[in-house]
Amino acid sequence: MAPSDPSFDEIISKIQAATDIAAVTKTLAPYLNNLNDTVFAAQPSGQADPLDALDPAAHSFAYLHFLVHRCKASHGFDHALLTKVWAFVTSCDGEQVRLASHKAMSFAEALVKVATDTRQPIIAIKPLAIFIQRLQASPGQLTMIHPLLAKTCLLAQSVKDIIPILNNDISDVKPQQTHINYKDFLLYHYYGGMIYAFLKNFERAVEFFKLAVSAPAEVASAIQIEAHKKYVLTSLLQYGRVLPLPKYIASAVQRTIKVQCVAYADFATAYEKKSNGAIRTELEKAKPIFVRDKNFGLAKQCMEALHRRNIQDLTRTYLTLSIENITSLIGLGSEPDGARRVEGIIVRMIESGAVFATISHEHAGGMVSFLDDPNQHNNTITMDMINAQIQKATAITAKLSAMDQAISSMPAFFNKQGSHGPDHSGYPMDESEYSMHMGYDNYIDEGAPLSLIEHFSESFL
Amino acid sequence: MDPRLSPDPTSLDPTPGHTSSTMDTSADNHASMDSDMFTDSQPASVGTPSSLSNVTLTADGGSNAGGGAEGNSKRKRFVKVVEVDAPNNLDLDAYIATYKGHTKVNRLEFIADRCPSLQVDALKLAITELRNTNTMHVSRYINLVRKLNEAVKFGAPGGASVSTDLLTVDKTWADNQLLKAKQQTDLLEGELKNYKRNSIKESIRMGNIELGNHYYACGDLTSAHRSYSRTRDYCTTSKHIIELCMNVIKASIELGNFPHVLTYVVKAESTPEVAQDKELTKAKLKAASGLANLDLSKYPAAARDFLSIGEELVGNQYGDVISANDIAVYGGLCALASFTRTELKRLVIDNVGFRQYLELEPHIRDLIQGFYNSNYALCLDIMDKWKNDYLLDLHLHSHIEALYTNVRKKALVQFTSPFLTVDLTKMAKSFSTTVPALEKELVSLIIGGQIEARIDSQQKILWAKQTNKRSAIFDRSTAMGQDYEREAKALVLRMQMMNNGLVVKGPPGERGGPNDSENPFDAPLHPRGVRDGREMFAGTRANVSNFLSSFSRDRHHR
Repeated sequence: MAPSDPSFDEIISKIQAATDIAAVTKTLAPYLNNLNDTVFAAQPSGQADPLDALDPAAHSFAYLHFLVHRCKASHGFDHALLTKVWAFVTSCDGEQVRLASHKAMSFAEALVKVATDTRQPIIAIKPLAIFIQRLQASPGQLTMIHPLLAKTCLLAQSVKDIIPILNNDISDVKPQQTHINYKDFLLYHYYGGMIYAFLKNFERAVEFFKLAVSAPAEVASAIQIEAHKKYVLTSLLQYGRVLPLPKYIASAVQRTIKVQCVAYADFATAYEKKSNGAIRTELEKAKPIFVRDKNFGLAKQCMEALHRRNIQDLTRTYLTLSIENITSLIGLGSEPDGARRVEGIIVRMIESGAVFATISHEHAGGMVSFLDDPNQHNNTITMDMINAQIQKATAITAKLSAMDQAISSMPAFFNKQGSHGPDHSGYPMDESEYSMHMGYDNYIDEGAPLSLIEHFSESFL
Repeated sequence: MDPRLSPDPTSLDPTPGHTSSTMDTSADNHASMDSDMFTDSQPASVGTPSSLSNVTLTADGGSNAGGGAEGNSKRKRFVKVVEVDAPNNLDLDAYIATYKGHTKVNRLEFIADRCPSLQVDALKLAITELRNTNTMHVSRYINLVRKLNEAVKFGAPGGASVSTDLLTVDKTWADNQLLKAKQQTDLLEGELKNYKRNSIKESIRMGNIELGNHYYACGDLTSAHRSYSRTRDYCTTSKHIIELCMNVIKASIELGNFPHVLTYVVKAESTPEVAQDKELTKAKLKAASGLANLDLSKYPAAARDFLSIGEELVGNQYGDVISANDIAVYGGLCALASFTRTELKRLVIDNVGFRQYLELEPHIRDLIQGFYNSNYALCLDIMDKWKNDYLLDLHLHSHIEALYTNVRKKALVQFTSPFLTVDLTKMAKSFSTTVPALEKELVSLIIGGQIEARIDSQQKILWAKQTNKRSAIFDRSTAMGQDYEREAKALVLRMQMMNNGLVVKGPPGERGGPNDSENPFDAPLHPRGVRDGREMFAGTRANVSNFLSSFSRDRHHR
């Protein structure tokens, strides 16, 4: 410690003096920010660790500062440090931590560095997961740490801890508070999709990739293009076709996709036509591209899903069918043990509920009888499900209408509408808004539209 | 997997002279690789003797691939010549007597190209016709003579009895005709120039018509078409317009340019009516449009046209294009292939006007009645017997496969519709096919959604499907709820992102703004960001209202 720096005791007393969040913000934060970094990194010589005097819950803010630098400076596996880290993340005060969001990010990065240095990236995962949950102001908020955690999970191939976080859809993005930027959003959803694909939850994977690809953009991001490639493959896996992308996808992204993802589009069209030979040829043709993009595993899974899909189609036309017929109909007739494979596939499908059937081996070779869905939808389970869905839908509609109302009553909006006339960008201007527009026009102060917008953007969300 | 008509060879035995395998797949066809192929268009120009018709031999994309040809006027009409051994019911003389004019020779040549057994007779008749009408289409005459010679050389039946004057080109007569043609052309063109100089509309119009007629007689159809079209500017009364339309239609039909025909039919029908020959003209127009629709594979439209002709053409009044028998056949087949049961009853069976035509071709009447009465064996039998004849028909041949497949499909669907379970063996018998083949056909129909049933392939029974509509609704509504939730959330998120500026932007250097890459969104009051913000407001507002109003609409469509 340099002589000009305050001693640890001073620092600690100052920290302890700041008892509530207001004090922390007003006095402690600037004070700590002004301190030299070395203060935090320095190890006490022989005395008790200043950190022990601090309570991670009450003095999270300061604790964080210390931890960041300790982690940054640590080499190798420091058990004591990690215990402190764990104690911190499990008990820290979210509000205080949020104040220091930059520091939080550095903390996360440092932690990951510690973990990778010791070649055990898994160490960082659980603490980070808990830390994120504390850092979030609400369960759906996106922080800077989300993509970092997702990436670490992927590298460590341990996804158990991030699942609760992934299952909370992101609904809150406020860069003012969390200092995220678009890359965080894109990366988080890209990695998240990959994690879901790894878990074979392709429905969610498709959703995540879709969110990444359809994020607002003026120029296309490479992350979006990669996400789109995976979107195509996971969509084929889950639904047998590529679901159409939302209408509001950015035109720049669309154009780049058309150019960059040609092989994927070709594969998708062949897949949808479902002629096995054609699909295999397309796969072979596109194999180098898939391998280069590290998507070949997904593509191979697509082929297996194809058989399942073909069998499902058969249930619609046939009531009973022999296994040999099935094998030849879905194109595996030429394989040596095709029949056995098919039987295995069918058994697995029955178990997973993808198809309802019974297999009888009365006749040689086995006969499969397809049955209708036994779920009669006439029990309380269905009732509860429908009720829950209705409630969710009502809640969302209410929220949307409220937002709709809020925007349409903003003078700034009418100012814009007025200057462009009612035929702007296809937005249909109906009666009520038109009259409102006429009234509000008088109140618009032409001189201060900019501040008006700033003011409204703060308050309306 | 196209269901083909009677693939079972055992059913072919009773009819003698039947072609082997009834042209089941394109691979089995004997394509006669004649070096001169008759195409429907006649591009041979006047004045070049012994000009060959164009040589084109490639597979027809439409006719032998299940008849899925779309009526694309740009589609080049390549025709694979399909050889027919012997038609069963065709009496050549009686058949050809119903026609006159160019179509007579066209049809004869068509038959000659395709049917070896009738080749000599057809060519003989054709050549005689050309001589008798003193045609100026000399190149055609020479062509036909040459073909006749080749036929006799190859030993076609009946070749021995051909008189030599038919076999040799009458050079003097031919040269005479050519000279006459040339003279006439010059004369008419000179006159036309005169009229144009004098700028008398009516004379120019008449001059053009004369020229057009002359070109038509010489076989130069494109020039004829051109001349006729030129009269358009000089038409003053509706009578003129009608005349123009009829002429152009005539030329277009022979050229094979059927979209043109349709345009002019519409044009003619929309002119205020002329008193004389009103019904006849209307009937002719309907016939022409029916023909055009048939060629464009628009079978329902064609059927309606033919069925609404009325009684005027029973006496082959429009014989230079189509005969009354043709109307019966085309109309009946198209109707059978495309109408629903009620339409069939209303528009065909109960159609008084059409009855007279059906009398001319009683087998068509039997066919339709049989189908209506679910007597499918009879239907298929009749269709089978007459297939060869129809393959020799100028306009129908490329559509026969498609029409037959349609009829067969409809028969299958109609057969299964009243039943809960159907025994496939019995069904196969009444459709004169084997059970595996029938199963294949049914599968394709089920997949196409025309039959709602499932096949028990172990016991060979077809079970009608009873969909549990209630369950289906529950499934659909849960899916819809989830989709709605997802889309709404995504939209809200998107609005937030746009409002907060979380947009993928290019590197700051390109944009030329003073933003630093670190936190471009925290910069307050930056003019460009604010402008973007206002753009985004309108955009997001539009998105929200569109979403709310269109979500349910889209769902209904899906």
